[in-house]
Amino acid sequence: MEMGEKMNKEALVVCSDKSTGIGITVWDLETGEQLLHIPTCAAAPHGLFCLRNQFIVASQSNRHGSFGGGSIFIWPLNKPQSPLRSYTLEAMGPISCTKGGLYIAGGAPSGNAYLWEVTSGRLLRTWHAHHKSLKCMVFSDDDSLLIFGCTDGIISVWSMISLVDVEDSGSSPSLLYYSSEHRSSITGLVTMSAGARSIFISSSLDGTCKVWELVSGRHLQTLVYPMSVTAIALHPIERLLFSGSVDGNIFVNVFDIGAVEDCFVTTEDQAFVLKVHNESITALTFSGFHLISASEDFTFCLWDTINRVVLRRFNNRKGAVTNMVVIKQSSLFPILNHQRVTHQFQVSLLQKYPQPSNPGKGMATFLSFPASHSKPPPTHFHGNNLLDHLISGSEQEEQTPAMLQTKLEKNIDDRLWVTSMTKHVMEISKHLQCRLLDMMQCRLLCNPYELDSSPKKKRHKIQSQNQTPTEQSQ
Amino acid sequence: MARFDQLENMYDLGLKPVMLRSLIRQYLPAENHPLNLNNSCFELPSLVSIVQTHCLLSELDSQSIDPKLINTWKSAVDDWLSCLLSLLSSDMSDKCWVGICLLGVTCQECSNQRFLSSYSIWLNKLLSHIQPPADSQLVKIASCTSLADLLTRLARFPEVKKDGNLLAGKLIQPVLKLLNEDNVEAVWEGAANLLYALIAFFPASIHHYYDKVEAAIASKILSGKYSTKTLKKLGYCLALLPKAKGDKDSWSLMMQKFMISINDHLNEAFQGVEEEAKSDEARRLLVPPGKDLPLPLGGASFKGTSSERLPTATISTLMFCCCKMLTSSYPVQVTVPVRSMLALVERLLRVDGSLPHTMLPFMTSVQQELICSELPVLHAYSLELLIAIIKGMRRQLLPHSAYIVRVVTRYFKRCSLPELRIKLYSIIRMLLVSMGVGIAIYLAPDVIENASNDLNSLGGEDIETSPANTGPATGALPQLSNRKRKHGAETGSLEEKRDAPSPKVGESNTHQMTPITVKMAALDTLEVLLTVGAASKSESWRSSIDSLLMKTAINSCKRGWGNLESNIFLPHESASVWADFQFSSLRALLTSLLAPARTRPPYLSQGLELFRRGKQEAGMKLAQFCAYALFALEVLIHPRALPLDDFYSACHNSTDGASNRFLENIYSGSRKQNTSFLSDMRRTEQGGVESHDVDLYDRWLQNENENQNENENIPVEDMKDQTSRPNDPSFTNVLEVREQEPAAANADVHMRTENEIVVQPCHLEESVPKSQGVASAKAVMSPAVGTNPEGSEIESKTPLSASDRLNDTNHDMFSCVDKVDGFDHVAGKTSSTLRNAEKGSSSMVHLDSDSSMDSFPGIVDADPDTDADSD
Repeated sequence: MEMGEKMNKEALVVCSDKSTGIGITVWDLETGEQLLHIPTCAAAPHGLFCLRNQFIVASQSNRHGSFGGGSIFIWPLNKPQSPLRSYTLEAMGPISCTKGGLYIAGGAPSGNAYLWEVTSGRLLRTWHAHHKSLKCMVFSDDDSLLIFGCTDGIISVWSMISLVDVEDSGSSPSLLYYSSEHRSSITGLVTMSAGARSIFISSSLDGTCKVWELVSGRHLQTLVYPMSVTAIALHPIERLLFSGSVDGNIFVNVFDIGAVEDCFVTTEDQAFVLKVHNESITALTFSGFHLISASEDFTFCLWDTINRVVLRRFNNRKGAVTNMVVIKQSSLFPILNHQRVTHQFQVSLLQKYPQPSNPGKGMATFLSFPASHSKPPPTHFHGNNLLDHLISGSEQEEQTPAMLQTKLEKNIDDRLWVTSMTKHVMEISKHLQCRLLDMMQCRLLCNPYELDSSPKKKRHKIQSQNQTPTEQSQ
Repeated sequence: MARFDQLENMYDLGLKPVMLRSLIRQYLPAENHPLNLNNSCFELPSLVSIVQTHCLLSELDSQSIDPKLINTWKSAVDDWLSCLLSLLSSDMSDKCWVGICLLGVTCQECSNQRFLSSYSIWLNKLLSHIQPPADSQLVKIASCTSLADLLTRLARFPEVKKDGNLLAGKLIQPVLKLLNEDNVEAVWEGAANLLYALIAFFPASIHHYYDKVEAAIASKILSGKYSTKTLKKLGYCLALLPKAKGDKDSWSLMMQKFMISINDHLNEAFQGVEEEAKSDEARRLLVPPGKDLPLPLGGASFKGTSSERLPTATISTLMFCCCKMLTSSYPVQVTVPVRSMLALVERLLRVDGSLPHTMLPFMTSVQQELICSELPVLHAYSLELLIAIIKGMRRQLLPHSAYIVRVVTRYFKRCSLPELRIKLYSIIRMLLVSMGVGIAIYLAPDVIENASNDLNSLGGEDIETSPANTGPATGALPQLSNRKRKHGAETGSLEEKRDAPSPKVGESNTHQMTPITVKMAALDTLEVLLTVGAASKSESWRSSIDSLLMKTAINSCKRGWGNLESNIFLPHESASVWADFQFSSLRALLTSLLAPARTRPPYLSQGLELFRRGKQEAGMKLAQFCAYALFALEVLIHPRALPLDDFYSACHNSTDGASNRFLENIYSGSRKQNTSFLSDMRRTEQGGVESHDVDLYDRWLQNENENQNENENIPVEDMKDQTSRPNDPSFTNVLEVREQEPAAANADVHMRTENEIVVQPCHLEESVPKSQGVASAKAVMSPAVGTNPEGSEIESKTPLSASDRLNDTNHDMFSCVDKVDGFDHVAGKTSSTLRNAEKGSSSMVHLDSDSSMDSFPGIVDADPDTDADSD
């Protein structure tokens, strides 16, 4: 029971972008304990995520060596001592992965974007996405679109299908649209799928959050704040939008995307404010229904959003937290043998250079739904159906050859049986005839006058009965 | 039978041994008594069903059961088994057959304990019947099936896995022998069943015979002579065979062998109908340069069949194998040659029987005819393969999805066989669902075009009278009946009535143009497109699709409601196609009504009417769906503005106890109001749309007259409001809706006022005097938002757009709560004002009703029944 509870509990992974020495720390949110510390990591803002609940992936903000290249480290959560260190052509800023954990996208300060396939590590595509530095990126909920936010306030949306198209490149434009409505750097992107209507929200230093229709790029709404917005998060179920500002305040809005046409909403007066931090908010995230906010003031807080109180305040003494990811505590435990899940995609080193794709080479995959593997193989009898089939086949006119054969065999058997029975009966009747003749002879000779009429009749009857099969058989 | 008196009912456990014994007496032939095969064929199913429904063999063992009963039951089952075993050892093949079948049933039904104690005996007994001395084929088949059942049951006990593998190993050689030496197809089928069970549950047992099994099955498939069903079963076994080794390479090798074999067959088959270069290209993809060719499938080299007939059966079976390999699970990660499989699909779909110019001189018309006759099957299988690829790879297919889109859209233009079109539609649905909105962007134009064409060909005459793309469907219906009426007038008034309700003759002719099943596929695809990608730049096509779906739904229902109950007289079909079509069209209609759009769904009222009618009149399943549709649309008609719980409780805690109580009052008050509102609303609404009662209509008219005076002011206010706030979308909405959709507008207004009422108490509270409170409550009655003087005062402080009314409300709530601190007595006053507000609301119902009245005749018109009757 305790184990089960522990499995469901969540932990917070935090890291900073200031110095490699600070590293990654994993905190237990309930107890405030430090669960794990991974040294040597300094990830750029939006440069940390959890891959498939098993790996922590972080882009390293410090330059690697004298070449100016960057690096992305992948730590298995249950075995953090041995990370995969992938080196990239440029230093990576924001990175992100698809929901299924199949692709990783990375953006560089130069405006170049990179797309890797995780399983093979192949660099599928690099392209010049923006003129200015990429600030954040996010995949749409169904992983089919990729959204970039740039320091110059431009947002661009790309079609994944076109980006990763093996055949060609160019036949269909990958860029769906872009928008330059924000006047200053984008600081956060959040996607939200309301059924058929996918939308996303962008926050910017120009003090606004804008709501967009994902596919058409239609601008739905603008929320105006008195301060630059540095981070946003959506409440997991309710329509609440949390926006962290540069002065440490967190504004909370009810977020309504009903059929509202283009409009401006000033949030200054109607939002309520969570105020605890003194300096700019760097990141916001949710653990269950609890908000977690991180700030430049070296602290991060766990909020009860219902009562608007801070439940716990953590102090990251070494540096301000810039990235936060909530993970399941269970993924930290070493995998025990009996619960080893065989169906795990492998994670490969991300390649530095794109390689020509080999068309003959296949694609590694698992052929089944992962869920069906924890269970024993489903056993169901098909015998019954076959039995019914056999039986019904014998009833119907169209008979299986086998059934016909059996019937034939059966007929032959019956014929044989009939013949043998007939022979038998014939023998008996012959025998009886003899006996009868003997008796008649005997009686006629010995005592002709003592006989009654009734036994005579009987004898006649017997005689006639005996004769009938004999005659027939003859 | 003395015990019989003591039995309680049919659930009495004591009944079971008794029943089992009488079954043995009644059905199982005694040792030397001949069996009447014809009778037993009828009796066996009933015997089996009795055994299964009453669990006669289960031998329940628990503390609560009388140990004496357990013993009786045990001995009855013992008798049953001994009886079966004696049947099994009988010389008569029919008795033997019955015994084997029943032993199979026993394997499924008996208790775990009994099974574990005697499975090896049973297995050996059954085994003897598939080995050489046995000659009856039916017995062999039955033994294979029963053995398969036994293995299936055995696989449930992990503790005997080792023993099971050992025993299963004994079966393989006899099975191979059946496959290789027997020459009757039915026996192979039985052997395939057993082989499947072996591979699926005891793969380790196959390991040593891997190559032999492969060769045995491959020879059958490559010969291509047998029935599709048998070949498919064998092919399935072959596809699962790599599981016996369970490593990455054997899967890939098997797949490569399949692909190469298919390729070789195709090269031969397509000689003359495709360019030579194609086959080389396919080969290059299959065998990477510098690598050796694997051994051909089954080990033996492929021998070309005679050119008289195409090896269609072989190719299709091999493609079926590929499908099964992709869709069944495999223990380790494998490398799927996606690229070459897609190339194969494309290659097949490209060939349409036309001759390339270079080949023209080399082909005879007979050859071309031959190919053309077989191509549909090959196309169907290549579409199946595409489906399997999508199923197997799911999201990982992303790098190839652009390619697939190209293949699919190209094929869509040429494909016209109904079956293939249905498959193609299902592929598109799968793509849409698995790849989401990203792929909808690319697929939408083709889907729209094709689906519209398919659906529009419903009947040439229908299109003539009501063009699909212009005008709402309401227009279509009266026009249609008008035309019929004219027709009736020509032939004479007596026939008129007969003619009107039975338009079947003309329709059934036109239906043959596009089969109804294709239309169903098109409808389903549109439904998925709307669910996945309704937001994807849909402005251009949305309105035409909406009207098309509405039209289709109306057309599908005008013949009356189908029944989805299964009909045993229809071959292979559980229900009539027509009812299925109705179901699809209603589903698509619901989706089109619910899919996000910028305007209110234009056909909402027609749709609602259709669903209401369906709920009352249609068969159970359709009626259930219609009820569901109404349920789903409820949210559209009356959007729920539920309070955000944590939001409110936040202010609870931030203020003191007094205001807490105050808030509670407000809530209880407003909730009461809401419920009374809803009930009112429901009454008026139902009256509005459903009843075609003339009296009622008159009453509505009267109502309108009564309220005219009150009503006069409102438009003026509306206008003011509009000028002051040109951007107020809710207001423009109301106007739009009024023009188009009276019934809906009615609902809309209700909804809005309902929201407003929740807000009301706050405003009232601020303006404490009662009279003003009443006034504001009246103001609520007007449909536009913000005519309330107090409300506007507050709103002027905060430059909000009406869109965020909820925000607005909340904020107001806070502000007033803050002000109220300490004023306990206010609560009482509010509740009194609330009562006033309630009064206002009740009068408002009348008010609203008139807004709907001008269009009321239209609704009555839209009902085809009344239309016909009124003649």
